[in-house]
Amino acid sequence: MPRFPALLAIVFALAVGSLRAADDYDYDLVHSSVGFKARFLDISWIQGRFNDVSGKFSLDRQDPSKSTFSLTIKADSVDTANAARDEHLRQPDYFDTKQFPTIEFRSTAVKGIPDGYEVAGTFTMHGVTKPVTLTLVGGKEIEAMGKKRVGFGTELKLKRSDFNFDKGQIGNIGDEAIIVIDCAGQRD
Amino acid sequence: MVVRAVLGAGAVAAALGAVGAGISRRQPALAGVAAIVAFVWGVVAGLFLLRALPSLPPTTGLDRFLVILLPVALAIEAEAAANWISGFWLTAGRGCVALLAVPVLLHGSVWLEGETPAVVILAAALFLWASWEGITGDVRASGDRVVALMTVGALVVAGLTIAMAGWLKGGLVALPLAGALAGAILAEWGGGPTWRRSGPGEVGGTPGLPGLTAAGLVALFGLVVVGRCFGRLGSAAALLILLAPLLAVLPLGIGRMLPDSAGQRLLRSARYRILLALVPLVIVVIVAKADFDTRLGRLVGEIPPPGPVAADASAGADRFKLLRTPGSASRRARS
Repeated sequence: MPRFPALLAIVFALAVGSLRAADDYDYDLVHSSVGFKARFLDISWIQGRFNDVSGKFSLDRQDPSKSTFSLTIKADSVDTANAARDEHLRQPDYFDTKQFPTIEFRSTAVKGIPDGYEVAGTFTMHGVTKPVTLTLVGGKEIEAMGKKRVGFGTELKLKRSDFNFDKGQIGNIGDEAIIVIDCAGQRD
Repeated sequence: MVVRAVLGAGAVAAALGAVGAGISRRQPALAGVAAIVAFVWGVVAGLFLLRALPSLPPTTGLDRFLVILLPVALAIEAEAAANWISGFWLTAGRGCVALLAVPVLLHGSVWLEGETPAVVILAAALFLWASWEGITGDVRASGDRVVALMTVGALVVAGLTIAMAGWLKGGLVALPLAGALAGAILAEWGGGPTWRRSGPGEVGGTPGLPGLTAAGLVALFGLVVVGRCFGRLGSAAALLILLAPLLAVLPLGIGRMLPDSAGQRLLRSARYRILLALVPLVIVVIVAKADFDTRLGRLVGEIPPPGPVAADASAGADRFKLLRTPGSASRRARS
């Protein structure tokens, strides 16, 4: 009988240990960026970025399928280095940021690959949710500036018309947009 | 495409309005309903030609304006024209629509996530209800067309201002609305003498006019609210646009209270009231154009950049003219 509480304690400790096998990281806004580019008149690229992004990711290195990723972008923070164009992009012809304030990615399945992770999930933009698969390259953890850090990079190609953007505004600016995500995570 | 949409909306509304007037020659109630039906089909035709039909289910403020607010208001006005329900229930119905208009238009947006004070929503509701009820009642009694015509003008100005502020689709949608309203009013105007000959003096020979005026006022309110909240229509411009139709009817009310005099005749004259209503609209257009030239004009290449760069840029533009592809003109028009 006296052995039972000790056994219970060991089981509890193992359970907690297995729960903590995943490392939780906060999105490091200072050392990350979410950019985008789209064709202009089919002759060049217009580039921009979103300045207000948050997210979390949990990495389980033993069992990658238990890892999770989430990213929330404030559409209002769009920045193309031209204030007038940014105001235009915030309006309903483009992002309609008052109606659809955030752009979100939520992982639904994660698979380990040689250079990182293949993450399936849902991408929500302009009120439309579509399944997407991201190939995240990176994932090596280092310790720097007093925190444990990890970083990933990925690109996502999508069509604005798939996300209910105004078709009348697809022409000068191409339908296809490329979203470039370079994000760093940090934990204590 | 825009001109075709406006003319198409006007033509469909005018044609259906004329047909409706012919069919309902001896029934003013039916003529009132026919005028509203003509307006509805004019709007549908215009939006179709503009390729701007709302998406279903409605997800944006503009969609909710076109799919929910405007049809409900038109249904109430159709019932008012047909005398199907009593005046009390009509007033109550208009009040309910006015109260729910802003929450419906802003549904799911950041505006309803805590920062918009209830008092603003109530004030907007009160404004819509009072102007809708008051002006429609006045037009029903007097048969005055000036308010309806100035509502058409205000719709055009609202559309131009919203478009010049950067929301092209939101602005362009106003133009078929204005076209359809103008077409329906013209058809109703043509049918007026017929009804006068038919007898019902109490409707002043204009059975469709109150409903059309109400449709214009609700359309203007909805468009201004979505333009202000989702586009970049400024508060001052929004207020001036909403005020314009009221300025066309206010002198009429004041004139009625005054004894018969030259001043009273001036206040009641259509020319004076049109001029008074045009002042805020002209101011809004001038300011919107100046704002467009400063900000978006350069962005879309309509205005060359200032200073010495301008010469280089225009020289470059000339060079590029030689390189334009067949599709570039249409792409430029769409921007």
